[in-house]
Amino acid sequence: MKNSLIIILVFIAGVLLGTQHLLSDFLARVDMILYALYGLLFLVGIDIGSNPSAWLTIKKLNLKIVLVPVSIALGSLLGAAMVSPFFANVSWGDGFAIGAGFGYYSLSSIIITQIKGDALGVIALLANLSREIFTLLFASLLARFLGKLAPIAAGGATAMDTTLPVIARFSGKDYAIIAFFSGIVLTVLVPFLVPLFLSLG
Amino acid sequence: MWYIFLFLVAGVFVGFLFRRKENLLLIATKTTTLAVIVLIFFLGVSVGDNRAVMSMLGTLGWQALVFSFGSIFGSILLSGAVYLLFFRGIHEK
Repeated sequence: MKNSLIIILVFIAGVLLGTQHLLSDFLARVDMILYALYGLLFLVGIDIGSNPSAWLTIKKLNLKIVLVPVSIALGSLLGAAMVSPFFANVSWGDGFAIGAGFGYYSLSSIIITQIKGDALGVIALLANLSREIFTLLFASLLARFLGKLAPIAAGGATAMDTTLPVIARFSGKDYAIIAFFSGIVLTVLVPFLVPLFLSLG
Repeated sequence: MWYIFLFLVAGVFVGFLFRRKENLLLIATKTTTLAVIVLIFFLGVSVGDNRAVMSMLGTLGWQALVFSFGSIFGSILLSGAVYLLFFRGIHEK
């Protein structure tokens, strides 16, 4: 929760500064955000490549456990694609890309903003951020009424870090391991899937 | 768009090569956090500076909530099917 609050505050601070239009020329002239995005992706890659648990979980692949992130990813993509026809400003490919954020709001919104502009980036940021907040608030209800995998599904990519504590508490220790695995798989997929769906239209 | 994959894959290789250099990796993790905060800040600046986006911020926020519910609902539904088929009764104690 603390991290999502920091992100919201930083974003709002940016918006407030932006409304003063002091940096308009700077934004138009400098492609700094693009270079920063490349730098961030390089760092995200280092994180993935050096993560021993990511490689270990791949070695211990178990079909039943693999079905967890696969079903979460498919459900997330289909759910987002089903609502996108209601909005004229969001194409189906863009809808898939928002769904492919899997709750990893920082990276997905930054990529989407850079490729498709501010409006879609804002939707991606708020949609994926609220996914994390929703999971933190309702993990206990989800686990009790919709099954032990439901909080893991709602948490998406965040199930490996920020929402893992509430999942462990309400789904149980056995499911915490599944949550961690699922979160890692979804986190790794985000930087690959989001640009892919954006390029589809 | 190909640059995105290029930088990502380059990072994965470098990360794998340096996977035992924990000091370097700690620096990478801290830099990532900082980069995310800076980028989100400039995402905000860019949004605030964009009059068209600012005028429809309420609509975008509402759409974001619909997308959030769509993807949460879809993923709970499909993983629920996986749970009923493969998990129920096995991990319960």
